[in-house]
Amino acid sequence: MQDTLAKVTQGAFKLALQILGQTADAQDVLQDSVSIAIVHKSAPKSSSVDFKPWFYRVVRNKSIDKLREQKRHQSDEFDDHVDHELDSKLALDPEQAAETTQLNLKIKAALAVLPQQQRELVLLKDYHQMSYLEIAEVLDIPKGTVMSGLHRARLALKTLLTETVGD
Amino acid sequence: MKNTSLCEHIGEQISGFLDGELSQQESQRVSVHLSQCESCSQTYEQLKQIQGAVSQAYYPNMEQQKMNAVLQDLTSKRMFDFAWFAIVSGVLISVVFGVYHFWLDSSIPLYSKVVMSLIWGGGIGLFLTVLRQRLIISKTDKYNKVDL
Ligand SMILES: [Zn+2]
Repeated sequence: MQDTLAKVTQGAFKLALQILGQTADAQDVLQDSVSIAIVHKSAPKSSSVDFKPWFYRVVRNKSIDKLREQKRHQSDEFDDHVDHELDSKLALDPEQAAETTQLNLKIKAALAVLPQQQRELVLLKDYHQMSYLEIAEVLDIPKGTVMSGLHRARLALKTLLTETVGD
Repeated sequence: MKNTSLCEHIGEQISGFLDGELSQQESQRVSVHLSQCESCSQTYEQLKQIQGAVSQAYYPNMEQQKMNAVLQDLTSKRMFDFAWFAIVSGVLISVVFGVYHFWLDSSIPLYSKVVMSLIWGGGIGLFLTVLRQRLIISKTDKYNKVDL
């Protein structure tokens, strides 16, 4: 049971990392979210299948709160915030660089340019392997909009990737 | 091959097909269309490639030691809650039994029953007030306690 729990929390940590781009921030979010899981009486048992989407949702919301907080602090650099985001997404960790293939870099760079929700849709489906129902729960959107949003996100990603392949 | 209205109609279902989220009927329809339409089947192949690449993307785990500490927090907090629950219910049960026996004891004069009840009632009232304050603090303080 501890193993599956660790799997969920590691996955959730990566989601926070994907949204925030910084290991330290993602760790803060994960700790906050665990303490919410402890305090909240409505939290599903950590051994149940409902725990994963519930916990991902908490982590996702906490990450976005943190992101907004950070954006507010650096609003004077607003103009180049896309480049900024891209940089922080690419420079995740120095030790990671060795394991980073070129395709990996390209995908991450393209993902970083996508609008927030499109990026989340693609990552929740293709990286975290969640079902449409679970994704709807994490993002708090109707299940019927997951497929169309995801498709639009993938087409945008495809355009970005075929553009960068050219050079 | 040119995009037909059928292509537009299929559109997002290519993603649904890729993810295995379509009904059997829809999935069959998409499958038939992909075998006939070069443009859609090319899109499908590209999306499939992207899906593969995203699923292989590398993101590091949280340091095992840190993760263990966080998860330990989760289990130890549960035990802490349980311990509190046990103490409070133990105290409540003994108070109820104590009061019951005390008032039924005919060898104790009525005035001392009243005086003792006042003293003990006040004491318990104080205990409950402190307990309530502690609970409120622990609820509102949840974001401050996460530092290890
Ligand atoms: Zn077509």
